[in-house]
Amino acid sequence: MKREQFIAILSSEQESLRRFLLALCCGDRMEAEDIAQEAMVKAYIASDRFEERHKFSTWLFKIAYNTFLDHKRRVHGYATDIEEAVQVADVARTDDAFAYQDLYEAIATLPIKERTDILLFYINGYTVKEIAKITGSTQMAVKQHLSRGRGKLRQILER
Amino acid sequence: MKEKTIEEMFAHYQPDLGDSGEYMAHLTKKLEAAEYAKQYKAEQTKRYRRMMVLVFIAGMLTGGILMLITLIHPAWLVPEFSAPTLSTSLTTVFPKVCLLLAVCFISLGTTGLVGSVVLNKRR
Repeated sequence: MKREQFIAILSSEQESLRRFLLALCCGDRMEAEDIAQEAMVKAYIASDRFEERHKFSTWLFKIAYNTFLDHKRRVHGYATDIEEAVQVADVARTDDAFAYQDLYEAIATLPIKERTDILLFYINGYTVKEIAKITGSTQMAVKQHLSRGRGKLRQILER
Repeated sequence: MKEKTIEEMFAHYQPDLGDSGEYMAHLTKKLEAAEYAKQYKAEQTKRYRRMMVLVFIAGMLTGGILMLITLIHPAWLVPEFSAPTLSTSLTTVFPKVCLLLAVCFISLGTTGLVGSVVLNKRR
């Protein structure tokens, strides 16, 4: 895939990707932007291996999700849900982030896999099959994550 | 109703991501820099693929020649139950060594073939 072609496709996907990563990082804009940039560069380097029969956005989101996991391992280790929720409350935020503080705090309580599946389902509108491809899980596992994630979010919303 | 609340919560999630044009311009510069990494990786993959092909050819050729030597060597005709002498020991050992080496080289050649197929798929 040529650079111009890649950039043309990417310009239509980048907002959706960045929105997803911002929510996945629970409002940490700097972290989300770093991961987004790294993922897009990785996707460009690997673009020759992209097969036209696959959906570009699914492939891009898969790279972004794996980049997020690598970033978490490198920088934070695997924080517990409570630790992440505390980080969400502590880190200095922009006004925009304060507008979604409740959302970020709610999703920060979910384990990474449940959080990812919930966000891909509700923010990006992916099907269970597509989510399974992105995260490398089975469809059954995705359904379980969605069910558990919804249950936990409902409990938080009821408070 | 609760399901709708979760949907609504995410439906209203529209964070300000800044100017898209500016973002893409900045990203394009990064992709230009990444071009070198991409070309280097492509060159590296080509080099490895060429190496694997050479390993395959060398392995198969050497293995084939050794196999041929093994098969045409008269030592195969020496009966196992004859009284062993130094010369008969050497003539029985030689084809076995050749056979072993032939198997090793053919395995190496097969590894080269598998390697080049894998690299070709990754391209």
